[in-house]
Amino acid sequence: MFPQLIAGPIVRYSEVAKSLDKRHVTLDAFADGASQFVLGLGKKVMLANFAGDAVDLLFAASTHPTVASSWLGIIFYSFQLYFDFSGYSDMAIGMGKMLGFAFPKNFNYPYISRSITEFWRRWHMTLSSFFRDYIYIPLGGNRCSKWRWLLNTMIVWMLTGLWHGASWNFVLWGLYYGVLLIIEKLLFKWWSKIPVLSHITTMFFVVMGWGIFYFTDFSQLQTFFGRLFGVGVNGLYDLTTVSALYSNLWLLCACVLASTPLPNYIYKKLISIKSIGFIIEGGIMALLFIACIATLTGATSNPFLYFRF
Amino acid sequence: MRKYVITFLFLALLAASTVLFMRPADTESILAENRQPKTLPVFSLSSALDGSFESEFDEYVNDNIGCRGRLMEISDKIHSFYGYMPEGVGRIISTTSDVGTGAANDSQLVLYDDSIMEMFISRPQTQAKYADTLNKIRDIVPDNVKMYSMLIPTRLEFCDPVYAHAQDSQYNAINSVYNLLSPDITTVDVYSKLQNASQTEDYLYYLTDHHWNADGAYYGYEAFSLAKGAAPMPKSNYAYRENGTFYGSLYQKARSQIVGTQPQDICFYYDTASDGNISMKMRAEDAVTEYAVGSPMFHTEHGDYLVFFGGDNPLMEITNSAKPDGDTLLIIKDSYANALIPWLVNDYKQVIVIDPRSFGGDVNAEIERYGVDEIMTVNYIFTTTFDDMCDSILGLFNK
Repeated sequence: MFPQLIAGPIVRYSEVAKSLDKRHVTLDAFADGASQFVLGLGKKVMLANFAGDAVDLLFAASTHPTVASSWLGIIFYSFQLYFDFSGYSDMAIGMGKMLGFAFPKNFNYPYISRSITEFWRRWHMTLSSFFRDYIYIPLGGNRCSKWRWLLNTMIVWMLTGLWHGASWNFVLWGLYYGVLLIIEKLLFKWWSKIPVLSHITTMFFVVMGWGIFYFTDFSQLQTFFGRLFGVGVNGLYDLTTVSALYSNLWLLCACVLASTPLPNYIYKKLISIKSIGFIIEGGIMALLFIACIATLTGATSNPFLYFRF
Repeated sequence: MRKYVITFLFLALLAASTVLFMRPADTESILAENRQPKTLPVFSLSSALDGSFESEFDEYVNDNIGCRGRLMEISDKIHSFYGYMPEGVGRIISTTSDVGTGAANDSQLVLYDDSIMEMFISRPQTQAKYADTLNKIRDIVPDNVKMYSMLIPTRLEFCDPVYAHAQDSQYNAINSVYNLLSPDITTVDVYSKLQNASQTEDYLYYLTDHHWNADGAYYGYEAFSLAKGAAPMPKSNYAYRENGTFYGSLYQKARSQIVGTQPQDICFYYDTASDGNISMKMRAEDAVTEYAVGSPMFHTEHGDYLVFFGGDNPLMEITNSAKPDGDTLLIIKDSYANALIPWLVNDYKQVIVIDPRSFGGDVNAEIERYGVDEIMTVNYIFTTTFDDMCDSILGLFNK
């Protein structure tokens, strides 16, 4: 039996070769996998889909874009992307565990990063390592002249952009990260040591990057960036913005919180309580599963956001 | 112990969700939305390739799940936990809107004061195309046929300015279309009538549906009579009839975010003096039915907007034998006209109603066949933002 996964971590043959030859399906691993699968489903259905609804309201159908609606929209989109993809990755890893495969971890709380370098160590980790091992190092990596290293970096990030789609905005998005990483490595290595500020600046650039990612049309992209900074908008905020914020206030708080290791830390503590831990784990699993099924009832199809990449 | 409990629980949850899909569909929750449950789509290569099979199957699964109503209640409850809304403050949600032509526009709904209302998004190019379409029709139809255009605003336009101004101005959109029309097309100023009436009357539109009601449509009739220079029949000539309560078509789109909205009365006005004088037939069914409560014109089997003619029909022919020397009016319309037509039938020898979304014939031939004296296009302002609706209207004359 082999799970056919169309989304999730990039798995190399060497990582599953042993399992393909001889799998060990154990009840312990099945339980772990089931638990991770349901948590991943929860991320996708309970967080990403609702964040996506907010994005639709603020971007796709917004009649009067404002500065606040543009910012709020791209922030929700950042959460939608993260919980969508990390949710699916958890589901894929969980499913693998249930069937006796060990798939690599793909996300490690990327939104707590304090530098762009750290962000890419935490975001879509299997993609980063794939490009590192198959493109960057064969090109010479950083064991070469500075100019060659600059070129290698830009090639890798241009290809990373292209990997996400055959559209110029993805190329621009890749090059954007290439430039950011070069500047950071050459001039701002010390910046990540400044708490809070380094986190804010990192998130600022990451969120800007998702703006490039979202708008495949260059004129729309240009208009969007103008709006972020007050050009071509209908004021600072409007009814749509206020409504979107109020309607999703607790969702936003939940997304912020779930982007940190805190909920997982608390969850792990709770389920490790002797003799009742597994009851708590089972209760959370059942509630989350029922909530997901209920939420999906009557909802329109909400496919995986990362499918197109 | 943990591994047994978690494994068993997970498998039990999977099994339970499978059972939900195998249980008979909970059709009550769907009927409450005034629609029939989706049926299993027929698979074909073309439907698979264009994605319609996938989306229709998705809709089928969504409708055919046991305990659907209960699950949706849970879903609504969960959704309500995601945000906070101060009392008395409306909210805006995103959706799509369509006029039954196949195209869908991104849209927004305002949820305010127990009402769900579509927000108007102006599309000047399409609105200009709509005006151009009517001008072309004016050129095609014989000169002796008078032509009228009625564009109807929606309820949001007359709401609290905080919400009304969140959308593009429907007043400006209507005027921009009217200003582009040929001088040989008489415009019907239903906007002013509804604006004045909305100062004193609460219910000219349904609260959870995008249509006007019979009372709102009466102002359309008054405005049309004014444009023609005729005197409208007073409303007091008609008997008021209620036909149950309903949730409108917008309710399904917003039900998870609106709390406390009650189903609303559906009503119509019936002219008791017209018994026996008025008869109608639909192109698809040749049977002639007389003006009566329960006839297709007042289709009391339907407890919603379908009470008017049972919905949209390709061609309806309504004959008033009390007016053998009267004029014949041809209406090219969207569903807004359905509530308006019962007010018009007493004034004409014949009212011919054509829906461009489903009528496949040649309107030029119908004009000749019925000896049409007047043509009126009746659309709500949103219709002017749908490119393919313009094509459908013009297509009626280019067979």
